[in-house]
Amino acid sequence: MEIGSRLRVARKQKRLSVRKLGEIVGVSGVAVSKYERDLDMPSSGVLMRLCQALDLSLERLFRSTAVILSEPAYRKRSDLAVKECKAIMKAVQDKAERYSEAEELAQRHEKLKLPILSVSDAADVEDAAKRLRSDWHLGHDAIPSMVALLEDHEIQVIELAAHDHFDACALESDGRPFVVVRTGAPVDRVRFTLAHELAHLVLQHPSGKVPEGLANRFSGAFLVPADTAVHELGEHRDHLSKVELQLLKAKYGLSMSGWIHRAADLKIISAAENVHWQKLRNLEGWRTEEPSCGLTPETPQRMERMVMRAYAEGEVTGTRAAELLDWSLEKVLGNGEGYADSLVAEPGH
Amino acid sequence: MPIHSSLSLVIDSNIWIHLYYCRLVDAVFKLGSLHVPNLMLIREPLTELSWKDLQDMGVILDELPSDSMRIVLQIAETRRDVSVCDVACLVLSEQLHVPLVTNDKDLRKLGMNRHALLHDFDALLDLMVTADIIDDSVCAAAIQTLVEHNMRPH
Repeated sequence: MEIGSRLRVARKQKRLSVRKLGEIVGVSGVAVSKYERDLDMPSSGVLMRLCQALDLSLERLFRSTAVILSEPAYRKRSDLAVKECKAIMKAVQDKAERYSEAEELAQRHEKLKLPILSVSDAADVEDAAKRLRSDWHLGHDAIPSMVALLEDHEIQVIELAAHDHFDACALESDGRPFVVVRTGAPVDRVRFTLAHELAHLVLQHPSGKVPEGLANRFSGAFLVPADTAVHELGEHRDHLSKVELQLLKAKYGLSMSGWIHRAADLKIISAAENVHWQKLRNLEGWRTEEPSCGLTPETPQRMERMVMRAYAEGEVTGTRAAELLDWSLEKVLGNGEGYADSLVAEPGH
Repeated sequence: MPIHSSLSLVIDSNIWIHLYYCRLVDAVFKLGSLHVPNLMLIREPLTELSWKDLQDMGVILDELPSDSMRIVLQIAETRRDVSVCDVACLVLSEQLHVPLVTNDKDLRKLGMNRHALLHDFDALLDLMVTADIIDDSVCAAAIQTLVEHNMRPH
């Protein structure tokens, strides 16, 4: 796609006529029309005003990227407006393109190597989670960072500042999965979502689509395998305590609600005890927000590592690195001075 | 106002940051006319130093005409290691027939392939020493400052 076509697409998205756009940027409608047909090239000043009016980055205008994203599978609240979904998709597209360019620069376009695990019921899902943990050498302990784990297995995780009605979405480009999570979303929710999306990537169900219930079951089982849950809770419990759940959440990064589900799924607690906790959960507003339990925020870092490595090796200029990471040039030139510190968890997160 | 007006230079963003860290922004204006492409306005060099500040101090923000922008586009499409603004600096230096001051290895490589006139930060310091704008001790202190900030070029 040439610059002209990109300008035309952006203008149409903004629902502006060539004349109106010309008025905004201070040229004639005929001039805009010529730019769009690549019969003329705007000067730098006009180009900047066009970018501003069309909400386009200069870089995106100049460089076509072949990232075509699939329709996203959202995990969101039902009241997320269409307009907000569009804004999210635009931001995702931008990030995905920059991510793809960073991979190209770092020559890290690697084939995704994920197993395919056939499942038909909850017992299969428990086994699949156990097997994947074993394949990935995770042992029985808590997974320190779901984001880092997925990134280490070539699943791209993108963090996005978005409306808090949005939690996450999964999509793919050219067979490669992207998981998008909201900046500032509760850590336990991000971890569960990532494990849930992982389920959709590795599980194969006879129906062709893994039912959401089984994906959720996988998510719980992946974060806390059955034997670990039994080790922590015991084989049978009459009652659970809130503080106990908070401490387990802090240890494993699985929400308190997730632990209750896990205990019910594994028949550690009775159906009646489960109902009691579901009522309490609603009463205490845990569906919206649970006690945070001091979990460490998980931030995607693979792209930053790739770009800063390319910069350190002199394979990319500082300004280019700044563009790709959406950092200031100062931060890049100082080799991200202070950046690593900013990743250290603050108490209360 | 510039004291030594014989020189014209295009100065890349990274050099402005180096000059700021070395407290040499005022001094560099004594060298002559300093240019940057107006496309640079899309990203401020530093929180503490805006293009507006630099413009007030005498930086000339140059417009690149259509023909130059076509060249920028051609280069940017084939070279993914440099930013559009980097390319704009190079094309402006070609357009004005003046040296480009940059420390970016890839941009310098691209410039050399196009037989552009190039200086790096050390050369800029040398120019300031030769023009008696700064002395050797300031020059050495500037280099030390960049080392301390981990900003020496590769």
